[in-house]
Amino acid sequence: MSNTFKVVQVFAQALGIPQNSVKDDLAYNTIQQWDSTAHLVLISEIESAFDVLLDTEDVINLSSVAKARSILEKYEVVFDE
Amino acid sequence: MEQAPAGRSEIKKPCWVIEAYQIVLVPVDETHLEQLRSWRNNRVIRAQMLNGHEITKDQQVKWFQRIQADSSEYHWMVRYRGESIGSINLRCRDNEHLAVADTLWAGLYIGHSAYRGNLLAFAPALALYDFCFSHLTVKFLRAIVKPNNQAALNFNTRLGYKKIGTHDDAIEFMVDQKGYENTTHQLKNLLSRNARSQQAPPITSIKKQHSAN
Repeated sequence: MSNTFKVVQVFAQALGIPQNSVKDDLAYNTIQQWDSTAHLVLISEIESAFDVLLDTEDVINLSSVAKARSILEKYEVVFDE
Repeated sequence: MEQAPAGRSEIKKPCWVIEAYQIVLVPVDETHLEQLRSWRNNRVIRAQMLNGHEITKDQQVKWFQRIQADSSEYHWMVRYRGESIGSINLRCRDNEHLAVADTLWAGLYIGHSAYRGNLLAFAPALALYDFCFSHLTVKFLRAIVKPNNQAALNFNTRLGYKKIGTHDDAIEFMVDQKGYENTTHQLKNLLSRNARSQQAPPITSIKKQHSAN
């Protein structure tokens, strides 16, 4: 499974939204489902799926799908698709 | 140890600087007034205030003079990475001193647009509530929110607040230490992780500044 698809799956599962709603510009607090509680679940799911432990700064900055990918790249997760 | 009863005239107003969860709370001083007024008059922020009228420069100065001498009300600037991003405050009943009150009302707004609706908005509340429950005599924190301010309703729920009443144009919430601690454990963990290059996680740091009062 590609890491790009894995990100889509994690977002969809953590936020309880369809996979086709997970676009790059989907951002924190712009949909009802992505509130602070869901954000905590999302961080936990991302860390589990990619076996990483995010710094607080990255937890704060992880405010969109695109940002999630760029942050994960810092943790040596490769997106080459 | 039993806390000695004290009237507001018997206790000087300390200026607490509180540092935790990546942010620093600095007591409001004269240099912050224009920034505060600019945020406070912003249409988005004003719309969520119980008193939503615009503040003039003169009113702002008078407000500052009043709070300097008022031990029932404390205001801090929220600083993140050397930048002011918002303001947080505590109040108690008019005839009490905040340091020995058992119930405090908390208020917060994030003025910096980059951090509005961001998880970082929880950091000043966590830092201040930790301080309240560990360093003051407070037993209950309360917050008053407009019914249409969904972001603030969600925010307060995430901090453990429970609705206790509805007024004409506002909803009142309350939380005690147990409710707060039980609800915020995961949030605190996320906001107190250190950078990968650093060692032990930061702990709440509190300093007292000299006060003019």
